[in-house]
Order: sequence, then structure tokens, then C-alpha cells
Amino acid sequence: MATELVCSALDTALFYHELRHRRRENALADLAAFARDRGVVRDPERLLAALRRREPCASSAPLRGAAILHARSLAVLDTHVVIAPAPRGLEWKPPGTPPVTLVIAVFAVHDHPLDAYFALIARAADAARLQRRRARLASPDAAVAFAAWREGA
Amino acid sequence: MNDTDAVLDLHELDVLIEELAPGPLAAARTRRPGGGDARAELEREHERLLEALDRRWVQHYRRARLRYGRALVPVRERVCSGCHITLPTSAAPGAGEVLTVCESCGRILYWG
Repeated sequence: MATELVCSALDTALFYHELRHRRRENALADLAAFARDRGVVRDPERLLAALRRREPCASSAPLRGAAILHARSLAVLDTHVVIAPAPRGLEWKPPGTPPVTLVIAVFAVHDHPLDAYFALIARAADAARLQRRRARLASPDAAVAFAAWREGA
Repeated sequence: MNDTDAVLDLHELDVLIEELAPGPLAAARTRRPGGGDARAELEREHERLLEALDRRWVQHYRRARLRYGRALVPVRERVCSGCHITLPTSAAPGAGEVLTVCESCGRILYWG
């Protein structure tokens, strides 16, 4: 089921872009410029304004270490998902929260059906959760715990 | 803020307010950390923009929104995305402008 979720989240036109910034605002501007260069966005400034306007309505960082950005806007030419890892860690709001290492941005055209739009965001969040679980399983701590569990079993 | 930006902002607010419409998840979507209702704030901003906008655009905007639900549509390859009519070359906006009104359906056309 989890694999299906990832596939369905990624079967729309998808882009991959690595973020090398530390600050959230710089990363957002980078994502908007990236989307404009790929022909996804007609007006990056308006897209940034849409993203900022949405932040008070629903936080873009609902998961520890991952952020889901979304905008349904006239500034978007074609519905796309951008997967953007940030290996250096991004300082997100509020201060003091863990740095964000994965950003998934869902950019949808302004007349994208509402249900489909929410479903796309939900699938993006599921994919981020799955990635976090994978990262946890691949960590050295998990290997030690798994070895201890095997010896005990 | 000029009229073009105000009309585009009005449309963006309409889209966002529609997303926050009452529904099973509305409470979770509109609740704010410090209390307050995000939807009500957006509606107030919407009203402020309408008051500041030129009356001609307000009339076009209200009429099209009432009739079609969406007042503003983009133009794609000289076709109105609302009624899908091919627009005459004379319908293109003047230099420095991006908004006109579709003579077929009355929606505001975005030529950006």
C-alpha cells in the first residue's frame, strides 16, 4: 500500500530539485524560480505570495523534518509536484523546531478540482512519512536495535 | 496597489476561501495557532480589495463570479479558458496591461 501511495503521488508530472539553502524564504524563492524555469509557473512572485498567504491557514511543516508546500493559483501553468531534499537542513517556522530536510511542493492550476487537489496533498504527506520511516530504518541505531531484537528472538 | 494586482489578488483569495469552505475538515484547516478564523480574515481582506478597486472592474468581477463561480480565467493560445472561444487579435490588451473582458462570456481574461 505504501509503495502504491508513493507511485500515485509521483505519477503526475514530477520534478526533483535539491535545495542548498538554510533559510526558508531563500528556499521558497529557489523553488519558485526552479518551477518557472521548467515552465510550471508563469509568475514566481505571485506564487510566493500565494504560498505566504497559505501559511497562516495551515502550517506547511506538519511533519518532523518534512514540509508540504501547496498552492492552487493562477500563477501555476500546469499541476506539478516538486520533490526537494535539503541536505543542509532548512530553518522553518516556528523557531526551535527541527530543521526541514525534505520539502514536497504541490503546485496546482487555479481550477484544479478541489477534491483532487486535497488528495494530491494527502499523497504527498504520505510519501514524506514513508521517506521518514525509511530513513529511520536505514539509520545505524535501527540496525543495532534490529540485531538485538534478532538475537533475543 | 494597481487595479490589475487587486483583481488578481481577489481571484487568489476566492480560490483560497473556496479551499477553506465549510466541510468535515474545515475546522482543522482554518484553526490558527493564536486562535481566530483564517477564513474570516481572508473574507475581510477580500472586502477591502473590492472597496479599493475601480468600480468598472468590481462590476465585471461580481457579475462574472455570480454567473460562473469564477470571475477570472487565463487566456491560452488566444482562447478564453472559460467559454473556449478564440479571441480576435483586437481583444489583446494594450501595452503593459494583462487584463481584458471576454466579449463572449463576460469573464475577466488574464493574458499573463
